[in-house]
Amino acid sequence: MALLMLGLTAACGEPKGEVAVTGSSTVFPISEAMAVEFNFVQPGVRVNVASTGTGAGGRAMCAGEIDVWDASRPSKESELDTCAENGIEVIEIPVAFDALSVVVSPGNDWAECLTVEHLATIFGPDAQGVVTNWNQVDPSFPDETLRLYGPTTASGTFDYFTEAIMHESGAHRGDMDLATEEDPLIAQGVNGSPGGIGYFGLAYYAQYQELVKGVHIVNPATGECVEPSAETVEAGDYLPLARAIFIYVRGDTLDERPEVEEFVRFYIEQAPSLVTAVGYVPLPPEIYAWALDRLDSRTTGSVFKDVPAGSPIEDVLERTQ
Amino acid sequence: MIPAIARDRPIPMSRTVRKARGTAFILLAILATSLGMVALAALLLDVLRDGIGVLSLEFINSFPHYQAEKAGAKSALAGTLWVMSLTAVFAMVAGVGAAIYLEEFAVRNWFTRIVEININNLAGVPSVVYGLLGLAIFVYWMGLGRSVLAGALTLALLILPIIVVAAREGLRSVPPTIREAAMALGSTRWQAVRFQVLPAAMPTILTGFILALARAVGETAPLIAIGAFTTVLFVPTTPTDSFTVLPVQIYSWISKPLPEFRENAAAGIIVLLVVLMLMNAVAITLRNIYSRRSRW
Repeated sequence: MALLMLGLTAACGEPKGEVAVTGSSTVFPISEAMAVEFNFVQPGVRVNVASTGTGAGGRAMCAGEIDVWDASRPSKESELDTCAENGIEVIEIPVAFDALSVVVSPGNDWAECLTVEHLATIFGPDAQGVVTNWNQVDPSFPDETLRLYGPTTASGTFDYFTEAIMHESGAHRGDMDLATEEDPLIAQGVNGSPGGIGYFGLAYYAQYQELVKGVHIVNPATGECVEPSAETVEAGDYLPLARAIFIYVRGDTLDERPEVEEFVRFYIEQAPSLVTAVGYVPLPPEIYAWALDRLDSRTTGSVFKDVPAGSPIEDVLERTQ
Repeated sequence: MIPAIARDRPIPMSRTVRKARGTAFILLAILATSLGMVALAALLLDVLRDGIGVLSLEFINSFPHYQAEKAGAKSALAGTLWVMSLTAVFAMVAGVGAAIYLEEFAVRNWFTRIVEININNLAGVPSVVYGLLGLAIFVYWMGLGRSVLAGALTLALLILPIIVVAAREGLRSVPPTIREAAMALGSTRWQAVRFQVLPAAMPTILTGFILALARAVGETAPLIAIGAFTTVLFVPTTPTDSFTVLPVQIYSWISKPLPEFRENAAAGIIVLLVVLMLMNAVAITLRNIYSRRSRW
C-alpha cells in the first residue's frame, strides 16, 4: 500500500524529501511560517526549521548538514571561504527588513528625536562609567539619571546595533542596567524609569507601544527625523536602524534537490504577505524579483557582504545591476 | 599545663534551653520544606492560569503554526515520547548492566576505582557538554544524523551516571548473606544476581531511574546542540526521523515576540508535566510490584 502511494505521488511529479532550515532566531519566525504554509501546498516535503543563531547556522551549512541557512546579517567572507573549501556554494536571498527601535519612557519629553551621535554617546564603549545623566548626552536635556536597557551580547540585535551606531561590531558599554534576551523586560524596565532608554526589534515595539515611546532617529543622509514604523522602513527612510535579513540556499546540489528549490521559490513568492503576518517589513518587489532570478540562474556568492550596516537598500540594488 | 579541652569545655546547658533549640530547629526544617512546596505551588498555579485556556485536545493534536491560536504540540509530544522511550531502554540496560558488573563481578583494583571516580564525576558535567559529545559521536561519527536515535542516545549518556550510582547503591544494600545463601544452595553467581539480588535491589534502582528520566525529559540544551529542530510538521515514525521535543518547543514559544505564544508555552509546560507524572506513575507501580515480591 505504501509502495503504491509512493508510486502514485512519484507519478504526479510531486517533490518529496526533507528540507533542513537552521540559523538566526530573528529569521526563524519567517521560515517557520513558510514551512507551515508550504506544508499545505506540498505535504510530501518535510520542512524542518531550527533556531540556533546565525553563526551556528553558517557552520551547519558549511558542513553540508542543511539546505537553507537563516541569517540575520550578510554572510561573512570567512564563512563563504569555509563553505567553498568543503565544496559548498550558497545562493543569497534577502527575505525581509528587520528594524531596531529605540524606546524611552512615556514621560520622556526631551528625547523625541535622537541622532546617531546621541546614541553613540549613550551606548558607546567610552560612555561606560562616564555618561550617567541625560544632560551629558546633550546640554539641553534635563538632569535625569540614564537607565539603560538592551539585549545581551549573544544576540544579533546587539551586533547590528553596534555596527550601525558605533560602526564596530560589539563596541558597546558594559554597564547596562539590564541586558536581557527577554524583550518584555526591556519594555517594562524602560516604562518603569523616567530616565530609561532601551532598544529592540521593531516588531517588539509594535507590541509594547502602550508601555514605551518610540524615538525618532535622524537619517544621516537627509538630516530628517524619522519615526520607527513599517512604512518608514519600507520607504527606505528609517536608516541606519533598518537592515535586510537573509536566507542562504545551498546551490551546488540544487539541481538534484527539486524539493529545496520548490520551497525557496515558495519562500520568495510568499514573502510579501507572510513577512508582514509575522511582524517584519517586506522588501521592495524588485528585490524579490532579483532574488528569484538568482535562484533560477543558480548565482552563488554574496553581494551584501561588503555593504556597510545601515546602507540604503538602493545602494545594494545598484550593486545587483 | 591545662589541656585545651578542659579550658574550653562549655557550661552544660539547661534542659529548657536545649528543648527550645530543638524546637527552633524543627521550625527551621518546616520552613525549609514549605519554601519548596510554596515555590512549586506558585509555579503550578502560574502555569495553570496561563495555559489552561489554551490546553485542549486540539492543542495536543495540532502541529506548530506561526499563528498562536493554531499552534499545537503534536510533533513535540510525539518527539518527547519517542526520545524518552528509547532513552529509558538504552540508559536502563547500560546503566544497570554497568552497576551489576562493578558491584557483583568486577575485582576491586585500580581500574575499577578509576571507572568509579569517572562515573561519579560525570554526574556533574553540564548537559550541553553531553550534547556536543552526542554531536561528535552519534550525529557525525556514527552517521545517525539529527535523528530521534541520536537524541535518545545522547540523553541516555546524560543520565547514565545517575542510574549507575543509584543501581550500585541498590545492589550494595542487599545483604551479602543473600548471595552466600543462594550460592550455598547451588546457584551460580549469575543466578544469585538474577533471581535474588537484582529483584531485591529493584526498588532503589527504579527510584534512581525516575529521577534520571525526570532530568532527561526537561533537557533542552543537549538536544539543541545535536541539532534537534524547533518546528517539525510531522510525527516521527522511525528512530531515524528528525524530531523536536516539548522543552525545545516551549523554549521557542517563550522567545517569540507575540505575547499569545506565552499561553502556548504554559500549555506546553502542562503537557510536559503530565508526561512526567505518567512516566513516574509507571515507574512507581513497577517499584511497588518489586517491593512486594522480595519476601525474605
